[in-house]
Amino acid sequence: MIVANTETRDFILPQQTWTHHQIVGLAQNDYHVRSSRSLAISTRWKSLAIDSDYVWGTIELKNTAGSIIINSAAAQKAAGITPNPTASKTQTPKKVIKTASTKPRELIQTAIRLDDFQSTCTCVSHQTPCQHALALLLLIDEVNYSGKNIFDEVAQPKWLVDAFKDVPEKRFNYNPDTSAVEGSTDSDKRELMAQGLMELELWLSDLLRSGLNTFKHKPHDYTNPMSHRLIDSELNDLARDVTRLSLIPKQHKDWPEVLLTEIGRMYALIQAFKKIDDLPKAVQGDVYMALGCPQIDSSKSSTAFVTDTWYVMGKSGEQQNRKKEQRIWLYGTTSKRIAYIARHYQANEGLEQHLLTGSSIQAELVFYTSQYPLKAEVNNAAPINVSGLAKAPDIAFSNIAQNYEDFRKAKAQNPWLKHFPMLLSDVHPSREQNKIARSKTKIDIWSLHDDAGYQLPIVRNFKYGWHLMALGLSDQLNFFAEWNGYDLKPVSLWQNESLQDVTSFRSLS
Amino acid sequence: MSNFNYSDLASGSELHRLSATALIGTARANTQTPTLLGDSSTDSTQQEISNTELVPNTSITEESLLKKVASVSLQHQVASLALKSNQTTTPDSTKQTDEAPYCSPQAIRRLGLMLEGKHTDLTAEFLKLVHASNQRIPEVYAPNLLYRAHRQASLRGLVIPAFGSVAIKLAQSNPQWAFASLELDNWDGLKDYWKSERSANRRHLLSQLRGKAPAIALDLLESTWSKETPSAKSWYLRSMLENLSMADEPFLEAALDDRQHTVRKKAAEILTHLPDSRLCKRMIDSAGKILKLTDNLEAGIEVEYPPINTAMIRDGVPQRWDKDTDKAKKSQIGEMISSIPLDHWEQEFALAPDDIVKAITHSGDWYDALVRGFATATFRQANAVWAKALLEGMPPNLHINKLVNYLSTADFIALLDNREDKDLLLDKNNPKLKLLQRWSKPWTPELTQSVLDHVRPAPQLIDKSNKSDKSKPPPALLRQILKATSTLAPVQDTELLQEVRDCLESFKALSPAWKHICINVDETLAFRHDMHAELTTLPETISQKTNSQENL
Repeated sequence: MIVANTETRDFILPQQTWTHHQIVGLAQNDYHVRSSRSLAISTRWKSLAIDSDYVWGTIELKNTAGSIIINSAAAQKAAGITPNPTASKTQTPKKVIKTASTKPRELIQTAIRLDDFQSTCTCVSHQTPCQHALALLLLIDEVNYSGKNIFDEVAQPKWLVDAFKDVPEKRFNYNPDTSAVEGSTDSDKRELMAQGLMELELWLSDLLRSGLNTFKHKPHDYTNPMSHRLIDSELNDLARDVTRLSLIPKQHKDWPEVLLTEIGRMYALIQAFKKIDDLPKAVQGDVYMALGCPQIDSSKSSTAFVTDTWYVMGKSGEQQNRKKEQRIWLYGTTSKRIAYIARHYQANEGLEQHLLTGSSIQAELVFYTSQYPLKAEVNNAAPINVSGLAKAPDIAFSNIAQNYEDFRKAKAQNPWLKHFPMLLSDVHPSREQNKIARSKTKIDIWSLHDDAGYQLPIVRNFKYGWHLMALGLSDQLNFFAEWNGYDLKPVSLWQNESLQDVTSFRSLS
Repeated sequence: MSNFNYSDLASGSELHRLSATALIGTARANTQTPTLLGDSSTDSTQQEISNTELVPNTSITEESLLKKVASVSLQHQVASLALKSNQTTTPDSTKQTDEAPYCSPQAIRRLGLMLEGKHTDLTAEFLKLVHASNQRIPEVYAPNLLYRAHRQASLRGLVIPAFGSVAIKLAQSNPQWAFASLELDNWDGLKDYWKSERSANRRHLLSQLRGKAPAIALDLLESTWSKETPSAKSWYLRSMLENLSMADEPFLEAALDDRQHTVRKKAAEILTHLPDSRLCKRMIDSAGKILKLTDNLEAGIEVEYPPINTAMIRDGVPQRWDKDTDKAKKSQIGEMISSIPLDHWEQEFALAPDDIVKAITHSGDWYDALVRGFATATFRQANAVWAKALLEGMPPNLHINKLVNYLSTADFIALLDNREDKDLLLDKNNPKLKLLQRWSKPWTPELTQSVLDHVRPAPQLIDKSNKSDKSKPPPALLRQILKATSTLAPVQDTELLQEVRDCLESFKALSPAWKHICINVDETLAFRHDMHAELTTLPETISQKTNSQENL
């Protein structure tokens, strides 16, 4: 007999308390959600199993790889396909598709380590988690929702053990004993950095001599040689900033001012590095952080170590060329401090899935030295406890003016601050249309504004503007967002007493 | 971002001045405007020299510009104020309290699954249920459903009723969604929208408007008709079948003279749906006497092949070619009959449809042409009496079977019961299943029971037949009926649903292919059952139930 989902709830998987939004938030894009959803049907799986550490399953792949296209007549003959006798000799032989029906269907083996969401799959997808792994998580969600178990509780198969043998536990990679600490920048490295910065200064001078208008018309990879030179000098963050310069003319209407501001920021950094030894410790930390080699004051008496229950407010990041940056924003339940953990990956590498928006982690954070400390690492040496779904703390949202005032104060302390967290209350989205130059196409430009009349522009290509407007038409919204001084990137939205990733709207777009 | 101009900001003006120098570069700036560095003091003589002799001004070096930029940009970021907006849009504080309550969280989750791609084809059923149960969907789902309705005309009438007034405001703010808040009395607005849309979307708009205001739809179509492509014209004509009336007849009559034969053919076909149209009257005049009833009904109907003139060809009768055959003649006769109102034959022969059908069965070589002609005429004129007469009095065929949707459910069940064919269940030409295949209306419990009774013996029949049949997938026809069961069978009656599931269970053991199909049907039925349960139960009742379960 069929029973409605709401009528029985006799089975709940142990320790799996993620919400549907959290799982959908792991998807890379809309297509990823849809392809995973089409696989999240228990009957399509040959086997499904779970234990306290892993969830795994096997699914048969449709045998499309067995089809081959044979073009040439000779190859068709060799394959035993009779060519068309009426076709002339000069005529190109028709394409023939031969299906290797005897080839067995490929069996895909997928598994997820529940502790840190690391997944392995024998499919060819480059996404992490792949659609099969995400489908497994969606199935767990369905089981938890309906209470009808579909997973077997059996011993771990050999392939699972083998698959995870080489997958390191992707926890947190900071350890005070091994990671970079204050004063560890040796003279050789400083010399290397100084050389890189000197070249950058020369490059910036050349850029201003020839003019920003000339720079605008340069090819998009014009900045790459300088960027690569900075990477050679171990100035990775600065290298990323240089690469980003070429995008500014395309992304901002007031691009000369924005570009000039960025150039000024880099020049100030170069000058600061020249006098690094004369600067206070905290400012030194900001300079090193802006250059890409942040420092930590590891002395036990330091205020950099903060133990708290950290609520995950959201994840943000961007991809540039073949490199990805991810920032996980945390809010200290007791300390009321905001911090972010930054991660850098290659384009085909899976992002950190360990901390989902709305979950919490009880841990000791180590803040990098700064006048305005935000960037931190989780101390692996201290006890860590992650809970899938946590009750949201009492987060203090405030209006745009207050947030902007806080940003100005932070900027006064750390002029190289790139990502400032804004907790915006009672805002509503608005939209205007801009025409793309030399094109009939119009693009939507979104912004957030409040009743006091202040407004903040939202980043271009923001995909969920209509969803925010739909919510904002009937109610004021509270947001957690990143402000970079030019535009705002909404990260998560306060809904039903918790923060929810704005990317979870992707299943609705 | 026209609202955010640097020059409007505090300390932005200095940065703006510096950017003027930086834009052209110091190399050129020194030869043109030596005082671009804002407050740098230069005397008129120096400026003159710089301008006339092209001597670079040593005060504007890259280094000095960089220093200035560094200090001004940092000052600017610290000193600038938040931007003021001139927009005054605020959320709707006067929220209508009389609006319907939101659906239960369970129903909302189900909608989320459908939007992610699970059972997307059930979205229309979901929206209808929401409206019927006087509930509404949370506004955050409106963008997705409006996007979907933009592409799928059949959803257009369902989306807005399933939301509150907020969704209408949302639709008004996006020109792409103008279809959701059409102002039928604003002709200029409608015409602008019509002209701004692409051909495919115009078709959707036309279908939507034909349902609400066919006259406005016709006016819009006429306004751009001469500039449309032939393929678009044919598509638009097809949309006119919705709410077709004699008001459309002059337009369609004019389309008979279109340059493209595909447009002319389509216009002629649509005109035959209007028995009072000039085309039908012309056809009665020219071909109304082609059928002669013989004295004895048993002898059937005789056909007198008429002379084909250009007027008839204009009215859609296929042209004869030099190598004429009987086939071409039959095709012409079939087209003529399909264009003549059925009442004409009843008056002409002074016989009821049942008797005329009996006569048709004895019409010799012309039988196929007559069946096709009368069946097509019945379909186009939506004549239920003729549909019943043809279905009951004729052996089934492709043209006859498509008339089943004009029957009442009771008549349809009776028709199915009259076709005893249990031994042919697995046959690809099973007449009963072919009738069922054409039935597109929701199944009643009685019809479901009848279908179950019919398909239940399948496993026994497979057992009796060759053993190798077991490994085969279900016959295509039976597979289609099983799929139709998943979307058309009633799911509210739990006992009947259990019977369906038991029947599916017995099929699962036959082969993996049978099992796969049965599982899918079973899953869809379960999904629909849950959907009906969630939407027909009051939201409070469900949430109370869930809360109590969670407490347990």
